[in-house]
Amino acid sequence: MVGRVGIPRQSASRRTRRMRAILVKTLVYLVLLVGSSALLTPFLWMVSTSLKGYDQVVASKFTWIPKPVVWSNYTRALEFIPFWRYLGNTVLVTSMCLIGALSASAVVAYGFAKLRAPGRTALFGVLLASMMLPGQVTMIPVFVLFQRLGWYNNLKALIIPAFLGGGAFNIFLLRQFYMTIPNELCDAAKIDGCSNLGILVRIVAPLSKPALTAVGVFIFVANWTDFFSPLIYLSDQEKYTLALGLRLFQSLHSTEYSLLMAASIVFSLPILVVFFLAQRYFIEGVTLTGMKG
Amino acid sequence: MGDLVLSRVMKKFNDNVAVEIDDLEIRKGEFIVLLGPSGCGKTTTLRLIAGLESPTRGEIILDGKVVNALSPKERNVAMVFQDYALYPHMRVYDNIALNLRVDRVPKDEIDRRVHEVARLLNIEHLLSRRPRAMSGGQQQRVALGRAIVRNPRLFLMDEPLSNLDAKLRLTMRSEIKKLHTRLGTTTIYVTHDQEEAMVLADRIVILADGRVLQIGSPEDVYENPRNVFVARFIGSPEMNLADCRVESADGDAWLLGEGLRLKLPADVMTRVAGRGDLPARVVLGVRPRNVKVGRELEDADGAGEVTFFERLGEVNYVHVETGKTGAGMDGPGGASDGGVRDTAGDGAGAGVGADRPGTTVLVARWDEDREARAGEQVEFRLDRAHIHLFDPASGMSLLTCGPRSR
Ligand SMILES: Nc1ncnc2c1ncn2[C@@H]1O[C@H](COP(=O)(O)OP(=O)(O)O)[C@@H](O)[C@H]1O
Ligand SMILES: [Mg+2]
Repeated sequence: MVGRVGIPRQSASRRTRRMRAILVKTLVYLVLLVGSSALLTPFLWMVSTSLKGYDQVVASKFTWIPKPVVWSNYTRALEFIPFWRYLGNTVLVTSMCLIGALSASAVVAYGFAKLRAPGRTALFGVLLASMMLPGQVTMIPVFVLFQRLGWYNNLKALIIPAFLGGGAFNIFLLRQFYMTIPNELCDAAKIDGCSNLGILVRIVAPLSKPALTAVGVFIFVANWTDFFSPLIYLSDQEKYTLALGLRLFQSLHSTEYSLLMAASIVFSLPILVVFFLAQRYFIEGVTLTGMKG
Repeated sequence: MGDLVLSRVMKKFNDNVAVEIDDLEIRKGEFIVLLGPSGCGKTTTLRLIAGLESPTRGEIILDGKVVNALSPKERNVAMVFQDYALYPHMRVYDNIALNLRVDRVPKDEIDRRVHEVARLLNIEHLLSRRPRAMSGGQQQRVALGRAIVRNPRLFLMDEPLSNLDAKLRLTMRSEIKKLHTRLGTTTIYVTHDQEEAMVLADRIVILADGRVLQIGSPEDVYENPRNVFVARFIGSPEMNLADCRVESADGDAWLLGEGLRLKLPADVMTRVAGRGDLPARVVLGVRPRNVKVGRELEDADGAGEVTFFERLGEVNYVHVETGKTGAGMDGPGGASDGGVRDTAGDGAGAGVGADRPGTTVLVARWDEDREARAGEQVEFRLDRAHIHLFDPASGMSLLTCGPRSR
């Protein structure tokens, strides 16, 4: 008798528990849905606008689906500004910065993680503190310095700084990752005759691929989309990068919104591609380190 | 001149002295084992020799040349790490080949040498594996291969067998010994396992708290431990130690301990170091194999009660609680030999390894076929030729040389 009473009560509690789990899950998905559509809306608006004619853009009633679809916006956009020239500049600057900042931060982080030296901890503290410093504070002295060095109106001003340290945050991130690599491996490599650079290149870097990939993506995106540095250092229009060049669609009197959006989408494509490639690599890297552990 | 000399070497880590070795000479081709409990500075010593650590003071001399400032590569030493430290992202082949690649050895020679070493160590079929996909024993062989392939001047091994299971440890132990015989490379091997040291070493260096306590052949450190620490560390089961008073009567010296009373023979007395006089109290040491136990012995040195029978199969041991005597046995100092006063039983004689005050546990080999029963009354006799005497204050041996060198 007791059992008969007991069983339904038990399953009832189980049922409410399952109900609650479903409810929580639904709520979570709802929040995610709202959040992601909020984030996606501007992007969709951008796609939509890039395919509209001028009259549709300025029409008082907003529509999501352009009618007719004006594909020619894209070809016109790439002719409106010297797109290929700017793309070339951007690729040059971004790739040089990627090489410079990635290798510099990889090397500096190695020093902080694996080399014993007096004052190392204090120096690392200074590095972390420098992350708190807003760029605007150093902007003017740095600008004056670069100008005196003759880097004004020259891509050098965008490229060379990347080779000088590679960014406090990147160093911090890589250093934390390097710290997890056993020192015994470095000792073994030393016994095998490797120099510190050899240890970094042959042992530490290959074991830090996920972290290096992440840092590489950060550097790529930061430089690809950098508007501020080109704005203050470059004066000749033919030296512009894409991020700065997009501004040419806006003039005093009118803005070619559909062309601007078309160019912006083309501008964003490489970032999407890099994210997709890197994401695959992140996952691979994570499983690799998981096996290692 | 030794192949490797450590001269007045000291290493501090933030004001803590980790290692202090005044003089250690290692001859060419020797198999030296650094033996000591964990934390005594074995790894640090090895790292100093390798060049991974630089001494706070002192000189490390290789082949007559001070190498303090040289890198591990310039010293041409190879090291096997405790947990192998194989590069996880490289195949076995590349793990072994790395140091040759760094040295820019031509490709086909690298290939030849890697295969040669792999054949020697029976790991040829594993060359394309990654370290994670191998057992501990296989990883161990790869680590050895990585060290061998370059023909180093010096082989350093830091507890290389401690991560293996007991059976594999024995196999690898004999393989390492064979390898040394075959290659003849000077080897410094670190372990905390005295048995491993006894089996492998040409000479054992016993360390405690960063200092050398004794250097000698396995036989030497076993037979003539220079102090209590070495005496207890070497040999299994541990050497029995008992606090004793020294009394003299009619020109003979007598040792009186808990349930124990023996006359020191003249030849032991001649080996007493220094003044030829024993202090008033000594620590008597005797190994279990040198204690004879039986129900009734002629010339028994004492008696006690069996508390534990230890069956190991090959050899069996009994634990005898002395000073706990049954009926029919003379108590300690039972004045059968006139002149020796009965002063035992004052409770001050609790020996090292005492179970409870007033008694001392003596471990002895049990040679009878039957099992000893707990509670059984037995008598024992110590082999006079194999007793050790230590100073209770300093722990140093009071005898100059061992029975072997008589
Ligand atoms: N890098 C280090 N920093 C500080 N102390 C250390 C360091 N390496 C070893 N020590 C200390 O030195 C002593 C000896 O250590 P170690 O050589 O590793 O002993 P063993 O290998 O015999 O177990 C220990 O007390 C240890 O704490
Ligand atoms: Mg150690």
